[in-house]
Amino acid sequence: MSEAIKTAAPVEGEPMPAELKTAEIPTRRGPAPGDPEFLGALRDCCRSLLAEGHVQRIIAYRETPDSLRPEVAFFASPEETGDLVWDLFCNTNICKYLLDYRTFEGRIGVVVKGCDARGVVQLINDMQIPRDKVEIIGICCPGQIDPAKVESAAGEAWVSRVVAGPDSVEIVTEEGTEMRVPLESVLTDRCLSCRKPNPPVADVVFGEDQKGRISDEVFEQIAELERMSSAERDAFWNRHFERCIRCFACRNVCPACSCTKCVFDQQEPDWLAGERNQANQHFFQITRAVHVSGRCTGCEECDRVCPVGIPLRLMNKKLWKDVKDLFDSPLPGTKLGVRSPLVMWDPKDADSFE
Amino acid sequence: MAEKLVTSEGLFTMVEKLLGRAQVTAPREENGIAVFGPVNSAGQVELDGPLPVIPEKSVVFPQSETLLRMDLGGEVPKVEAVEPEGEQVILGVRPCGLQAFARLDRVFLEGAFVDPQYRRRRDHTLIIALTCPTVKRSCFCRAFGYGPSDGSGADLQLTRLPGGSFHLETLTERGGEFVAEMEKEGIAGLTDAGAEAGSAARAEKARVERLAERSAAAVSTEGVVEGLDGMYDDPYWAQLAERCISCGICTYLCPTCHCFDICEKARGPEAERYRCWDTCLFSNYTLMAGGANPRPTVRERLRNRLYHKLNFFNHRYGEFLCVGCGRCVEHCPTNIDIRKVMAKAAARSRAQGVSVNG
Amino acid sequence: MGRSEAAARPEAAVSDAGPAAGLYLPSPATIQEVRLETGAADVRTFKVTLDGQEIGKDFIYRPGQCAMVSVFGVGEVMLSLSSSPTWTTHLEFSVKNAGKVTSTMHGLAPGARLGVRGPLGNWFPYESLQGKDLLFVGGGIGLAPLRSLINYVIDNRDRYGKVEIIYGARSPQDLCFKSEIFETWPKAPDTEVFVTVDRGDADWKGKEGFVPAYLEELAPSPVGKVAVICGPPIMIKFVLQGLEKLGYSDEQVITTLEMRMKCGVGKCGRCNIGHKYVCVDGPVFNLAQLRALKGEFV
Repeated sequence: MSEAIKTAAPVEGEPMPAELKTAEIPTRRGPAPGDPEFLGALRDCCRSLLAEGHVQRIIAYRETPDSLRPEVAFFASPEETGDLVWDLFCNTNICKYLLDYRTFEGRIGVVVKGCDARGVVQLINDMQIPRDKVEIIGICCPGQIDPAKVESAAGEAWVSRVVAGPDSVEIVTEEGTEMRVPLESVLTDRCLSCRKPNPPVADVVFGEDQKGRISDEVFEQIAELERMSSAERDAFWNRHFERCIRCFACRNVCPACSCTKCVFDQQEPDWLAGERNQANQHFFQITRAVHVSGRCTGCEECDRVCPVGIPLRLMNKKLWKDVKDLFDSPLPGTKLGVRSPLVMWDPKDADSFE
Repeated sequence: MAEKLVTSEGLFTMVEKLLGRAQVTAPREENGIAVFGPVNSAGQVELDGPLPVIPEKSVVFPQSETLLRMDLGGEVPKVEAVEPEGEQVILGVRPCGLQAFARLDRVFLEGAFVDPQYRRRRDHTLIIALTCPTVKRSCFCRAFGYGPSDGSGADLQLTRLPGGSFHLETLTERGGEFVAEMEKEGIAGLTDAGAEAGSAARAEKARVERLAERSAAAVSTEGVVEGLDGMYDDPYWAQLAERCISCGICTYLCPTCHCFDICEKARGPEAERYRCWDTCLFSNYTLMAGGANPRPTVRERLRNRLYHKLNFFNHRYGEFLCVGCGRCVEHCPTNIDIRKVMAKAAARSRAQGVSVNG
Repeated sequence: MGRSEAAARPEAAVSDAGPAAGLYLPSPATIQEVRLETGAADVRTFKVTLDGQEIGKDFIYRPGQCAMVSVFGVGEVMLSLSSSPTWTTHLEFSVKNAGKVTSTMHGLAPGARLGVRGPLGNWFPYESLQGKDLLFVGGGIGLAPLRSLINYVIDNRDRYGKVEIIYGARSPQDLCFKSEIFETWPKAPDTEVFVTVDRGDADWKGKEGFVPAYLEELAPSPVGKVAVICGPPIMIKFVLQGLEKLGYSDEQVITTLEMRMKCGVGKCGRCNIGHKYVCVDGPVFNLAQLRALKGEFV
């Protein structure tokens, strides 16, 4: 694949749409998560954006009685921002909600981690929402905690709250007992191998750039899959796809899945029959993986929400690796104005079909 | 009924024996996730794990199953109903799973129309329950009037004892026959439970019931049906729907959700009609051929699901279609919590009571 | 069309008409005749016989009931029986070409085989309607289920009071059951038929305008009368308003509903309106019953 190098820059003579040209330079910076002033500053920021009419809606998180599970919330007025929260349990990638605002007449603020921000950028690059309609409130993310891992660490005791430090977390139970566990032992799987925790594009940024966690585990697993014979690989994926319950959560959270009518929802012809057999399970999973390849931002939200633990990130990362090797394009969602090499044609494209 | 004591090795041997004569479904681990699924060796059975993500229902209501088989080659179509075959054992059913079977029975077996597929599977499934080894924060069984040690509806019930052995109770005649059969086979490690094992089992049950007590304080069904009666047009549903991503996790992981689609598949002259799981959260569910959809947005669809669980089923069958297993609470990608919906309805009911009384 | 004893007292054997062999197994049926109803060719009426079964004896139904009709290898749809139980030679289904199954049906010729599962659902309260005046209001293909009751009433003419039928369609081309609305029914004793089209053509000499407006103009008195209505949702909405204005109570208004259905027997879940299933508790409801339900109808 030596000659297979091309950049994903706009093709000459084909101007980019105006909404893709916006400047990428963050204008303001606030305190980091962990700083005692962080939450107050974030709330102030959101409150004033709404109060001054810069945005008409903010998509963020709200506290709930279960401190491990804050809920996604939509703030329409400055008064409502009092219970806006951002902590290490804001796992949900909220960028996809922007699609509900396609016809909304106003600007929308989104409070995003590095992975979520890539989704926002990808939606902008896929021309789903114009850049100037979105106020990106970015947070340099220290990593998110998996509530299930915390609960399993606490055993039979119920967790009341978790106090996160830089390297460890303190778990406080309802009974008042405290235990300290290493941060890495409760971080979500995706955060353990996150290389890009900082929003690549933002209007406001909270915190200083984070290093992320460099783990090659996923790519090692991919290498292992690549070494398998095709029969072994088939058996590997069969074992996982067999469990798929067809809930479509992976698709519904995916920032690269932005079709207004998904092929799997089409009724005539019904491309994906309801029968749960091997062929259908493969057809669904592989079609989706191929369709998002080159636009998958690697946020691994699909992997997080899959209730039956299908290692979707292996499939998506493998396809990303191949696209990168073929076209040398940046990780989708890390740069405004970049179109996926798989959605455009270039005479200089490598011809590997010979 | 009879009480036995069985070592984990004895249980292992029993499962191995069963594998030869029935399809065995049990909790097993897949990529770090506990699921109920078919097992083909006793070593796959994982009874100490958490509440399996995939519920028990697929043994009586599979994700997809054939209803009719057709031969369309001749002048007259040959069409026959397909009956499920064979014997099944489901091992490790939790009390919430037992409660769910009882709800499904009402839907599929009650009234003028008895579902033949469900009837056949149900009649040929031996149910071996398991006292919950632990109670999660998302569990709220006690709100529905039963607890983590309640074996009602099972043929047999296992309770893990502190030493590692299992207390095995026979609850039905069929369960007794099974134990007798196993005894005849001479399973090593299967003995009569002495007084000590019996009291250890009771202590273990009391322990998990105490654990469940914690949720009883937080969640109640009181006033839920009445509250929902008066809040169908409440703006609350739109607020909740804003967050819902319209996936099928809550319905497909729900042990009582039973809605299905019926589809046709044809290849040449051979065709099949089958049913498969469906969910009221998908827009296609109520989409009519002409393009009209009586539930056009997530608001109507989510509201329908929650009402089905907490109100509609009550009006039809006199009980909740929620058993408090907590799977939807734990796995909702956006943390929509049915317990909060219950609390909201209960609060509405109290407010209505106040306004009526004074 | 022969009259049968069973049809005169159809309740006699209905309770035994449950599914014996298999809940989802249809009875074999054969298309005897296909009649084009509309100029646009989007509605056809299928005359169907059941292989080896006598209608009125082995298959007993009442006006307003439905059946699941199978096109084997394609699928199954819920259709209302547009024939009257007083006809014992065949069943009729009047079908709009809308989806996969119905469009395949439209391509079938006499002799083609179908499957029929039923009868399913409840029926118009033809017994309690005895002695009352009846007002039928229909729009487009919505006349199909009403037609079953209209013909039943005409075949038992002395038991019912005055019959008024208001029927409309988009154009003269879209009117269904033309021989009945223009010939058979107007000739029946004490029966009046009022036909309107949204927009006429060069040959149309009749009324132009929407059904709700015609209803308002005719202003049939609610005294001693029950209105039975069926049509597109938008028509239903305005007809209901019109009837209310004329003084009809909710108990005096009966309608029949359509929802997407799969099982037809109250299991698959999709046709609920509140806690009622249209397939087993409906399709026939009076307005008072519907208003008491939480759900999306009209």
